[in-house]
Amino acid sequence: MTKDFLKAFGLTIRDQIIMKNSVEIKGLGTFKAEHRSQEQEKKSDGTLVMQPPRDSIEFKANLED
Amino acid sequence: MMLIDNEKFIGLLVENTGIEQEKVEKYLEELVNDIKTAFEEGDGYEVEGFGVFSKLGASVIFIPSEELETEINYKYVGMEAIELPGSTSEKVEVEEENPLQGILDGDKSEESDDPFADLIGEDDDSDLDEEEKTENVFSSTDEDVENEDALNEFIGNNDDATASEQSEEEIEMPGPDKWGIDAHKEEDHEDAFSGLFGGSPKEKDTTSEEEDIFDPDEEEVDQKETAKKEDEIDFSALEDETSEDEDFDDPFMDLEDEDDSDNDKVEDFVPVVTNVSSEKKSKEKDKKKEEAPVKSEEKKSKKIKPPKDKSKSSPVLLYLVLALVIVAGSGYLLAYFGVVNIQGITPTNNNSVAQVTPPPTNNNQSQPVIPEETVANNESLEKRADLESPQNTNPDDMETDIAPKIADEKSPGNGGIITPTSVQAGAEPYGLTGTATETGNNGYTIVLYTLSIKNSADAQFEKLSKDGYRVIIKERPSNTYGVLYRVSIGQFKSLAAAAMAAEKVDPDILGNYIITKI
Repeated sequence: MTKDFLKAFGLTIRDQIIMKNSVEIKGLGTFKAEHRSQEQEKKSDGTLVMQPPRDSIEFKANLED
Repeated sequence: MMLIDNEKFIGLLVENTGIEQEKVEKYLEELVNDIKTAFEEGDGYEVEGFGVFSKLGASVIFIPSEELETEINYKYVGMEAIELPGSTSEKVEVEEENPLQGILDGDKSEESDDPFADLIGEDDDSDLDEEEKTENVFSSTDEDVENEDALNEFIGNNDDATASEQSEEEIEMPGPDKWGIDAHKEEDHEDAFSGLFGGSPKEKDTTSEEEDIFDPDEEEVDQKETAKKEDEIDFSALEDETSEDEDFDDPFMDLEDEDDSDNDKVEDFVPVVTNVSSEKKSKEKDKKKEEAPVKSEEKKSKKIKPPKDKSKSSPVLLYLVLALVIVAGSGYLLAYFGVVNIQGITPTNNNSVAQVTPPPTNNNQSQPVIPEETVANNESLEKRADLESPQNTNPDDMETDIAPKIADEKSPGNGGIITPTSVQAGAEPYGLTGTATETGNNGYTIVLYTLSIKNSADAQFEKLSKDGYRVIIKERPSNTYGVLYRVSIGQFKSLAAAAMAAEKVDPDILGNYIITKI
């Protein structure tokens, strides 16, 4: 396993996530881009907070394969 | 949106790295095993520039690197949670309503009833009940009542009503509607200004009242006299300073000396400043002890004399202060307009700052990267590079489609566009479909992705071109990746035209698009 491989590993997944594609890696899990629209959140002190929309990477592990 | 399974992923790695497929499969398997062994040992595994895999209990989590997280969320970078005002207002209202009710209800019952209850002797039970109710809600009012009682003891029984009125005034002070601005002026403030402008007869009255109030206290309370004397001694120590203030006020007094009656008033006038009043107290006390009538005349004479002497010196001080202010102001203006260079005041030229900013430093990085990738590319890419138009450079192009670090960098000198442009005579310069034109590169485009691997960008170019879109791939320097490849569709004359066209594009293709200048 070389350094170039690790770099390409990260960049390839990055590009696919940016293109809204999900990436499945055998024995590890699946990377997926998820979008969360803005939503209201009620805190413990009773205040309402509007959370902004957000794109994030979701990873679902599947180590058994 | 599509699923890249393990086979496709290996294929992409082979394309991107140029490594044989068997080795890629082997490396990928080693990577997965290393991650698993790290989990077994209770450690995490970090892929540099990508993120960290870690295991918490039975669940495995992936924490993307800050750069990656920013790039994924580039469209919403900078947005923060906003606290909605309606939610807190309810609590605030609840918290604020009670004290107001307590002040309105409880104060009336307590403060107003207490003095009269003592005098008239109303039912104590009802008062106690009310007090208990208010005590539960507002403990602060009890403290006020205690303070008032202490003040009453200090001032005297006859002053209970005045103390309650003062407490009400203190509570009602914040209301400008009722009292106005002048009403909020405290005695100290009035005293300060009265010292400057010679005071007013009202101020005299207040001082006289204060003296009247405090005099019986001294007679009645013997134990507290010692403390007061100490205070008086302290204030008397300040008499010299206040006398200087009087001297400073004298010039204004001279201006108002036209009427002799005014002079008499000035003689009788006592500045409302507490220090000065205390001076009088101390003086009067000492004089009362010694000789009351003779010393009052001496006071008048003493007060009259110093103003005249001080009136001569005080204007000089005023003129000196004014001269200093004028000199300082003129110096500041000269420095501000650049006549005199003073650091911190003289503005610096923005042009010089702009020149100081370093040019894009990633050219050196991008140059070695491009040849490595162009080796693996087809001849078609070389043809694309030959067709690059030099007119596309726009150094002021501010893009927000990528991370802020990347957006600060300037585009390459050739404009970075590596897609072919049409030179046909009949080709439309702007549009969503067709082939990109050189004239259209002066307009706007719809950015779909900013990819780090050129092969991925080329794949997107081919795919979108097949769908009929006018695709543009532009290189963007990046501190993290060296070069990023911006994939966009369409060439539009205006921002509005691009926005209108974006509504016609398939949402699956658009994703989190951004419209920017080419």
